[in-house]
Amino acid sequence: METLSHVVSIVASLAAIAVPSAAALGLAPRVGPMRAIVLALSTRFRRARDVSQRAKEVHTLRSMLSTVQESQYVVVSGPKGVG
Amino acid sequence: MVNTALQCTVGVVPVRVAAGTSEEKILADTFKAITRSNTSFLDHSASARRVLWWHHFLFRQPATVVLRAAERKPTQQFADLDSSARALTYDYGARVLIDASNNSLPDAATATKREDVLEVEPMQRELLEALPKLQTLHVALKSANLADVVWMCVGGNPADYESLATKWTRQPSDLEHVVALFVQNLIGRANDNVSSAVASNERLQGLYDMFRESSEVPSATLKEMKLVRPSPDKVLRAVKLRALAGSRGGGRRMLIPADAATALVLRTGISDTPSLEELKALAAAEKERNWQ
Repeated sequence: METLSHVVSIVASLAAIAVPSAAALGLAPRVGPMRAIVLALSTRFRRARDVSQRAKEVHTLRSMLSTVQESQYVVVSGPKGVG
Repeated sequence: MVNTALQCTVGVVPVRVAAGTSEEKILADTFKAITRSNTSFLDHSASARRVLWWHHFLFRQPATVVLRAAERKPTQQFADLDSSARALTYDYGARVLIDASNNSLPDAATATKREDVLEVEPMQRELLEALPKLQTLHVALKSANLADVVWMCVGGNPADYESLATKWTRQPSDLEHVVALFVQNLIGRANDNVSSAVASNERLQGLYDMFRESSEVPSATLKEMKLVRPSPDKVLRAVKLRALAGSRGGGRRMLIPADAATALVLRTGISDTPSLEELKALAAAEKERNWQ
């Protein structure tokens, strides 16, 4: 019993050091659902600073992104500055 | 345009990709952006995979990684955009969008059978002149009889028009002078690009001479002339014919001048510092030619 309480106290003291250390290193809150939520919401309400007037291309790109198959990717290419 | 398409979208992760960046570095930067970690000595792939899984689970759609390729200089290699995109989509389940100019996009990125390509061409003049941000400039250019000159040298590139507008706001009293300097700079740069390309391979001059008569030349001409385009190519760019307004025979690859100033230089062999009067006369002749 004494040994078990000793182990528990060591684990507790390690946890006390490990949790703030992991947080300080930037690990703890970034690896799971909370980070996914923060990642999603950080751009959910963000608007473009300069709204493109290319309504047709913007619509095409949105539909390409929404229908892109798994393991496929979308490429937007063209001369510099025309977007 | 990409920013507009992605505004108010959940889980957008922009990643800047410098020229010549390896797949490992692109993936490491992406994982750091996903996990929002600044530590370089840790491997974030497992954390990123978990975050991406949770994102998909919670929001019923994958996070979108935007790989923005920076401009490539002549001595630099292409970044490993294609293999990185493949890894991120196939191995990590992310949605990937590659945003790259012609000279930053490796051919392999559009030849993997996994890509869906949107080629953005310069704007039509009507659309460009309808941009709310540039209304004041367009009105001033029209009233000074300079609109055709600027269109001839700048073409449908709104970023160049914005640059001209910025220069004009610094010197609002002398639009003619600002326009003259601006277009002379564009023409000078185009002449430099042509000269550099010809200096690297003088047989390219034969190819460029074809643009005196035609605005587009089939890509197959390169094979006939046993020529390789310089990389990056600042003089010409390859497009699929369907992308050209009013063209027929979709699917054929054609070479066209990289921008309006280069087209002007190739077509007319204009000098570095043409006067505004000379440019106005050229613009009038171009307009006449287009009407016919």
